[in-house]
Amino acid sequence: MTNSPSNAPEATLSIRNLSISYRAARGMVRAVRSINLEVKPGEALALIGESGSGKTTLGLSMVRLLPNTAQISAGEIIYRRNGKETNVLSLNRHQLRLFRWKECAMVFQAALNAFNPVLRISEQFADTSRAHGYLQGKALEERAHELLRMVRLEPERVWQAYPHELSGGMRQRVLIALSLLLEPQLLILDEPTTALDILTQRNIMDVLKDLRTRLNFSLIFISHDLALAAELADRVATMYAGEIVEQSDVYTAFKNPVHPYTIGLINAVPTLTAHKDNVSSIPGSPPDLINLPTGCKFHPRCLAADAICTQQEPKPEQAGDNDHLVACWHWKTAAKSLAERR
Amino acid sequence: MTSEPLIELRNVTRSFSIKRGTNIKAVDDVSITIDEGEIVCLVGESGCGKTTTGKIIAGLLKPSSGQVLFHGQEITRIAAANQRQYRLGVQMIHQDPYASLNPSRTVYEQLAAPLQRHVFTSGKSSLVRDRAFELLELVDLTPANDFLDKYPHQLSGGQRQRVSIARALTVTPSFIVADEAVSMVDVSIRISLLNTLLRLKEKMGLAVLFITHDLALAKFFAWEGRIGVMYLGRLVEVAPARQLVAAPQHPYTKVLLSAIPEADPDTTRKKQHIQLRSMDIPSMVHLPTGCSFHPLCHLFAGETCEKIVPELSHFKDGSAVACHPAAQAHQADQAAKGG
Repeated sequence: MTNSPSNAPEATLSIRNLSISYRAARGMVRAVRSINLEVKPGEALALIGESGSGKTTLGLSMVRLLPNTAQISAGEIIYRRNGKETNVLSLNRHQLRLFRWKECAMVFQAALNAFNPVLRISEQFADTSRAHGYLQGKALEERAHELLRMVRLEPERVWQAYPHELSGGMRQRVLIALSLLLEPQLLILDEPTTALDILTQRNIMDVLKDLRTRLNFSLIFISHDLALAAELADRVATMYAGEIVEQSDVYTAFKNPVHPYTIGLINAVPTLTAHKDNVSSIPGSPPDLINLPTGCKFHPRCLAADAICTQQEPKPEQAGDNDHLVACWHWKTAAKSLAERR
Repeated sequence: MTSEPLIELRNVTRSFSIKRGTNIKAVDDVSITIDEGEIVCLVGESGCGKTTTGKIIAGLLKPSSGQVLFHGQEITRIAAANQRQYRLGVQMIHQDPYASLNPSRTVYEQLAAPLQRHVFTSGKSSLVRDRAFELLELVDLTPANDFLDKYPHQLSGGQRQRVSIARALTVTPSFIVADEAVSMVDVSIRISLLNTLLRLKEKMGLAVLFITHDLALAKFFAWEGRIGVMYLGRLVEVAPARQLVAAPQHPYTKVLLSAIPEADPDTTRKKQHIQLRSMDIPSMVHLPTGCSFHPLCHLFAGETCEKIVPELSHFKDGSAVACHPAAQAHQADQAAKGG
């Protein structure tokens, strides 16, 4: 926009030094540890990593939906719109209600559970709209139908349907439309295509690409599917044991990853074009989040690890240009030494 | 053919009745053979009948019509003694290692039960323990002594799935049906689990039917074997794995391959996607006439496709396709090459 203040575009969301733990019988589960992350206006960020790496916990914290057993031990989450800053973690109940959906909306993994089963789709829209003091009646219907068409659904067909009458892919698209109802500036998608069939998955991806060019919101999507990240993301952040171990633009992430875990993860996923011999697993298994290893949390599985890795935890540092950050003692040599060991 | 196939399905159909007396054919007229030591991956979207086919082969479901042959003998007709041979010869590995192991039994107990029942029916228990130890080493759960007395909850998902594999191997089967066996295991360790299965296949001459929705994974696992693609209960294409991915023939296979995103930003963003004629994916309940893919198909060739259900046409290169236009194209191609 031309009339906006002349400073450089400020991040829509800034997460600083965030740590989250869950109380469990055996002790504290350290799900997210000292995370720093920024999402710029209009940017799509992919959070990739395996189950238990803290992706969903991080996503839930952004809309303050963490369960009661979770405890945010440090850090802050700053949200910005039109130069106004909001400290997400200090919002009271009323402010939170205004923040969610209108500023930041989240679409969850299980699309059927997100609906009220006894309400028609039209009523789900009306319900949300009423709760936020937004459009009603004819105006709402027009806005909702426009959104439904944007997600490639025929409004006439789904408007009066109950959630159970729609297929998984249709429900997922209705949810995306519903999440955009109040024109949020940030959309968080948790595993948006997991459990969907290939053709449905393709459809959702195309819908998301299309929506982004039309509506220009920021997008954070959480996924263990690397291919989805390669196709949709501008930036990729790799999580391991509650930490972001590497973040960069999407091309660097896939073409020139420097963290041994990112490298390993990319090599562990067979692709349609890869030769069988170029695919290999990462040895060992993900750590116990209650009893984390000393030093670098990845060292027990890392082929490039040496003494320093077992003792001291590496801090994220700049690797080359393009905002490429990596937390590894040996990032300069890791790619080469891993290739030699394979 | 010098020897008969290990498993053969002949026109196998399995219907289920759903509400109001409606019948659906979860598996419809499927014929396929699997040789000893061969790997076949069955791929398709949810509800295409791949799991039902797997269960029929494993003897957990009876076909409504058609025949299942094990070493050339029809399994519903073989005598009781041979029935046992079949039951032991074909083992299944299930999807969810959190549900398929008994939570109140140790790893040793899970393995000892089938060993005592079928292998060491008399004799010392030390033999059983030795064999359990060997089996754990075979599936790379080492040091095996550390695992024998653990309960499933003390193991990771990948380790549990290895225990499931070891349990399937207790009765030294010749054939394993693995239904989405790695889909619940962490991405970073899936390949090592599959490599273990591949090594066992080499070592013990196992044949494996691997059921998955992931074509890239199927290509990896069936590198030397074949992939079969199912759509709405029917087997629509079978071919050597790498050939199927590189040169698919059935329009449905082509659509699937074109729709799959790839873990490379350049490739995946430039990929051409085949546009379907319609996005209304048909269901088993309202199956289209003729070829059930015709309402979506980009190769749609009119009346033939609408009226006649295409049979699987087999070709010399080991591929087979159930599609009128694709089969014609293949034959024309062969004729051109031959002449």
